[in-house]
Amino acid sequence: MNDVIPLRTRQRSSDRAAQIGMIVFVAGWTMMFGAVLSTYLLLRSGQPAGSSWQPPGLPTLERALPTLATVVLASSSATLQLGLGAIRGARPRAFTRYLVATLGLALAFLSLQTTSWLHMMRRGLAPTGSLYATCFFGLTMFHALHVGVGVIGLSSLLPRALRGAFHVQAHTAVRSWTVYWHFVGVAWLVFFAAVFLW
Amino acid sequence: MKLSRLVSLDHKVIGLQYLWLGLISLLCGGVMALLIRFSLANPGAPLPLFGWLFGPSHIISPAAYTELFSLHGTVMIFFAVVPISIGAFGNFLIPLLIGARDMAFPRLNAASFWVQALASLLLVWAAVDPAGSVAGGWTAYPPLSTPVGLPGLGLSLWALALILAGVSSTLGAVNFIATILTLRTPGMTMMRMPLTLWGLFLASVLNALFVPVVAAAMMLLLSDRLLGTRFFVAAALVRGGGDPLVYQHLFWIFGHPEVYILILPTWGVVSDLLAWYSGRPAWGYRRTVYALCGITLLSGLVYGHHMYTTAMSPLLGRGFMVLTMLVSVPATVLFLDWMGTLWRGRLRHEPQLLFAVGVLVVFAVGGLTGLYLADVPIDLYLHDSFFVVGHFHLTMAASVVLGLFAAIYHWYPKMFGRLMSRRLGLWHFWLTLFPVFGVFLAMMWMGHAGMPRRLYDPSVYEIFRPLRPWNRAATHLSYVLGAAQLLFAWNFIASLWRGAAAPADPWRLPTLEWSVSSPPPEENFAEEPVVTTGPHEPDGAGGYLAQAAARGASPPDASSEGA
Repeated sequence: MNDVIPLRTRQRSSDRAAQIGMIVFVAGWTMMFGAVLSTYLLLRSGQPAGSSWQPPGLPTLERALPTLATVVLASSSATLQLGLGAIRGARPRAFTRYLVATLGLALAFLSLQTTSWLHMMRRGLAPTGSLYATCFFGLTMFHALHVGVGVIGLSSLLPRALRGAFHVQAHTAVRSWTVYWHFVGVAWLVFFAAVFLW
Repeated sequence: MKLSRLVSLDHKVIGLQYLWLGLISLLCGGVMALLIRFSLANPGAPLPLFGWLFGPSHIISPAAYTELFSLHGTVMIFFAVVPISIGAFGNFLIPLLIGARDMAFPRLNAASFWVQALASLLLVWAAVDPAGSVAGGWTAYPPLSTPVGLPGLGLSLWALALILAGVSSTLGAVNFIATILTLRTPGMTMMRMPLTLWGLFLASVLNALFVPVVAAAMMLLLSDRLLGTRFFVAAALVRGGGDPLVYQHLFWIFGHPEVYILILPTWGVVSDLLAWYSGRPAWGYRRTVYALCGITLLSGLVYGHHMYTTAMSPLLGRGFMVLTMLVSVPATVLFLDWMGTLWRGRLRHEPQLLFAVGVLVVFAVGGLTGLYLADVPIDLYLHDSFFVVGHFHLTMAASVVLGLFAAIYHWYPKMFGRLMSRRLGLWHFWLTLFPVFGVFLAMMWMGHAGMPRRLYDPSVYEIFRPLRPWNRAATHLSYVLGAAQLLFAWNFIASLWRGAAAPADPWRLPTLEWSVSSPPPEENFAEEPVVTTGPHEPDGAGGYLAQAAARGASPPDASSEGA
């Protein structure tokens, strides 16, 4: 064992490092989503007095599809959390199933969002022309971009999951992407409330 | 294999990759500065030697001039200083100084370098793309930066490059923070870390929190440019437009902390070097740490002083003014700690000490002129004048770059295993310091006389014509400054081959990096160092107590060192 270097090895502290890394990352990304959200709030509250946010002649945002999408995204957070629990409970097969379910729900969320963009466009709402439309498309697309990154990240776990490479002691990547996914989910709740329920 | 060397996960290799990338950018940014100076002294005159760069007329046109100063700022801040001070020194030093084998996330580390490299390529593309120019200044305020002002691909690529550079910085920051918090060797408490690490740590905190804000601003700007949204296009310009001022808020919420992201690593390095090269402990180590933390905290609360002229509420302006003035309290503490460290020290006449003292002097003058700009009524007059340009170049540009030189002279032996020429280094210092003062004080003088920044030919206004000799003098001094950097370039490159081989500890210093060979072996430490003391504790015999007790007891195993 001459070539083993008795330094504090990565194994011992990698878990803590990953935890801290995720906290820092989430703090940074909260600032980013906060910046986008504040832009929206500033623009909307800065409207000249008396003028309505939704210009006359433009369609009202439909809530049905986004509400469904919200439920779908929340469920995907739940399935991923269940998957994490499966790894911790030493059931790697179950994790793979939960991961696939999460990915399915994530793609469903993205299709619902796309459908709702196309719907609104067909009803005459283009990103240009009004702040109302700008903020609708801007905020939802900004968020969808992060869902897309999450889909890529979660898919990258799939080969390893199929190989059964994750277990109780080694699932840092799963935990990190789970944190990311929950973050994207919570961010959506805030965006949804701000854009569709105001 | 060459390729595996290229995408190395070793923090030392990544650090050096950052260093080279940053130095090349520094060279480009520096040449741009000289071109800007040439044009200001001789607007509309054909450029000798390199005139072909600007087309058959050999003249730097107003459009080219605008692009030059926009790119100069962008390149220097995001592609030269950040990659060198944080990318190169952060990556190279953090594991070595805390006694770790590598960073917490080596893959993330390599990724952050390559994303930065990609961003540099995009910026080059943006600069040479004929379809549209990057002419929005480094701040790229809308509506100028929206398609209404600058259509074409150039500025979109610029924004994309900034987003990527931001992603790289954020990934790096996550890594630095996690590494410093979790991988410190036993005994290396936070309060035993060299101050260099405190500077890097706090800069990383700011990086992680505020770079995402500018990334958001850039994404919304890109959306305005590419998707046709209207976030920042003024309502007066198009129907259903938004508010350009919101962009300014986002930009400066990031932009002011960015100043400290640039300078905190330098302050950390200077705090250490002043101690090590005067044979004294850092006076008031804890106080220095608290002052650095205080500045970090305040830096997030003062951004409004960049926007005094945007018709903000006077009450808000006053609040930002008071907060900005408050920065001078921890800054003064820091300054006094440095003076106290030097007091009655046995100074070693090395370039790195001189550069560190240079930072101190430049920062003092630059910092004092900052008080004028923090003050609302005076700023209303000085805003967007050359006074601002001179001020931030002294405070942030000159002091950061002098600090980088200090760090390079100091750690070069550890990085490359060779010694740089001390004599050339001393010449480099004096030939840099005086022109720096000359150029930037002249700028402040002209700004005080009312000359606005970003003007192609100030002499079109009769009132600025008497300033012509000043402009000329600043330009000629800037040539001296540029030429002095050739000494450094020669010293840096020639020493790679011709420099004397560096021993493990050429400066007789106590921190962990000097306990291993120069350059360090791949695994850094043959065995885990156990730290028993701070980074500059005198041993009572004119030297320092080594930080790791085990040092010397068991020399590093020579057989384990890589080729």
